[in-house]
Amino acid sequence: MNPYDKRRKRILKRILVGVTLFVLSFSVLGVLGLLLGNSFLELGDGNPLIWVLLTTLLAVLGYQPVDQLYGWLFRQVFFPRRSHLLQILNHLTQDLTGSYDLTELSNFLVNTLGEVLQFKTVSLLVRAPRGEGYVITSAYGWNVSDYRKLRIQANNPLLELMKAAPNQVLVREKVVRSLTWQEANGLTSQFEAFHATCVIPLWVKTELIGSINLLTPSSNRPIDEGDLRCFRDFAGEVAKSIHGALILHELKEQNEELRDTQSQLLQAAKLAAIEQLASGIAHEIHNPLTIISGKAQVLLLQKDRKFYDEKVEEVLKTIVKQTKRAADITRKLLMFSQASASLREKLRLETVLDDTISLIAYQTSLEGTKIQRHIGQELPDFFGNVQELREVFLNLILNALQATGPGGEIQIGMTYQKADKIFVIQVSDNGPGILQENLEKVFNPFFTTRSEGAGLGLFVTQQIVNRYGGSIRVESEAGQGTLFVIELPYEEPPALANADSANSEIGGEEEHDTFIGGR
Amino acid sequence: MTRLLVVDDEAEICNFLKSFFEDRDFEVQTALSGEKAMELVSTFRPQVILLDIKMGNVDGLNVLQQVKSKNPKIKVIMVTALETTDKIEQAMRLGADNYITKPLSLEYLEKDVQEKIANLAARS
Repeated sequence: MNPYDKRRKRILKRILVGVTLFVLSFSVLGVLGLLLGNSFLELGDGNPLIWVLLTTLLAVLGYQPVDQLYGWLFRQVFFPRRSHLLQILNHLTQDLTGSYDLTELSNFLVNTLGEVLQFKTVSLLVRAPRGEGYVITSAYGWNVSDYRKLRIQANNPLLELMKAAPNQVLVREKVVRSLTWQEANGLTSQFEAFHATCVIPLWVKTELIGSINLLTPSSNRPIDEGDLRCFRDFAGEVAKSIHGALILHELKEQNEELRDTQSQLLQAAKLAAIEQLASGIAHEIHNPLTIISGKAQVLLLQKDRKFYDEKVEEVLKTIVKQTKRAADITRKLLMFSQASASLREKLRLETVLDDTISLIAYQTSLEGTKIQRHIGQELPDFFGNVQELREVFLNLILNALQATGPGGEIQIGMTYQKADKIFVIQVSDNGPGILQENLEKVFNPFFTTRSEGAGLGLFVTQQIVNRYGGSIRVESEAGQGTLFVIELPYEEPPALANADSANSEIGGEEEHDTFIGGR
Repeated sequence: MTRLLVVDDEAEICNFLKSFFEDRDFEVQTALSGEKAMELVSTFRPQVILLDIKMGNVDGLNVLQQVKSKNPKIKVIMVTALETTDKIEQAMRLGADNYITKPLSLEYLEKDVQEKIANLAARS
């Protein structure tokens, strides 16, 4: 509270106490004189000093109760609202110190001001943490969507006005009165954007860190000088708390960023290590696997078979299948870690999808799974690597297949968003869904809920999608099935002059061979 | 009879490929090294070569280059443990006619070899 204001009130109270005591003493003496009769009056007549002494005595005795009475009257009757405001603001100031969470602090501030002082709206504007401009961190009486996206530039006229007159509370009526009609009009709309009739700036030394914006109900008495003083003192305290919280918030963000970078670096190092390991393993292991599988195939594919044994046939097939499975693990391990080595060509995504579906047609027919595909109109060509993309589709479909179990349904959608130049691929199933706690982990390497799974499928898928500058996300609720959404940006294919000319030199073939791996 | 040369430093791989293709009426020779391979290119005059991309310390790409400079008509199918290495891209640029990854699918390999031969026959 303003000391000047306090002193005036104190002097007023003293005068009132003095006059009351004076009147009271004389009244008491007069009444006593009447009651006790002449002897008492003579006593007074004889010596005026006795009168003075008696009056003083009464005044001294009466001072304490009368002073308290006036104090109470001042608080409760003469200046009730302001002291109420002051009390609340004081309490609020005390409650604000000790909290350093920006969100908590601003929520508490606006809600208390709004509910207790019954403002129509209260909002807190704070300098954007580590950014340009200002944002509303919390608001009472606003639609959440109204302020979440609101970003106020540092050169906003209201902010300029606050900077021009530091520590001045801006009351719309007063500000507008001193301006020309046109200027006033512009500024009124700014007040409206803030949902406010009164804007209290928050200053820390020479920095404007934000403002509290209030909309007073029209039924209230207008804000007067006394209120403004209360607000101004209050703003000083609030500014300190908010500033502290703001700095802490910024530090936390920076800290998080550092941690993210660190974990990314760590991840990259891990990936590099896995790549090295996997490529070493692949070279060493694929040769023996090739020999095992090759010999089994030689027997299986013998032209003039001298004997045929169903059991042997089955054993040989199992050998071929399992060696392929073993090789796939190292292949998958490698797929994600190799950046740009893969050959890319112009292709149709829907063709790759169809190829993949037919690749597992046998499995789906066994399980009785229905796969429905919805291909959008006007899909452009995609520039990519068939194997990588097949891997993506295959992993998602196999995943869905395993999730639904026999008789499930899988929906695959593929559309092209012309405006954003983005392919959107959605794969959904009607399986049991993914537990909330596992949702974040599904893309982690070696994360699996199946006993025989390697936990690499979705990880590899994500790595490939990332390689194309795309993104993959998962939506799922337990019991509601799972939806994977992939977004791949369209890319102009680079000129393929090199590869084509190299080919035509040798053979002069008209068509470029499609490179197929050993699937 | 089509003459096929298998180049791989793993004798066992050479062996089963030889027996597989001989079963299909090919004339097959094998080489465990690049040197031996180049020698056979001159003497055996293969029409198709299955060439391992990485043989111990010999680089399959070198052999590919020599073969193609000697006789670009010879069809060369690269055999590799990994389809994602940049070596495949180099091989394709150097004129390799296809690549196939280990472990090999013999059915696919046979189909591919037959295709290459049909190509050769069509042109000559």
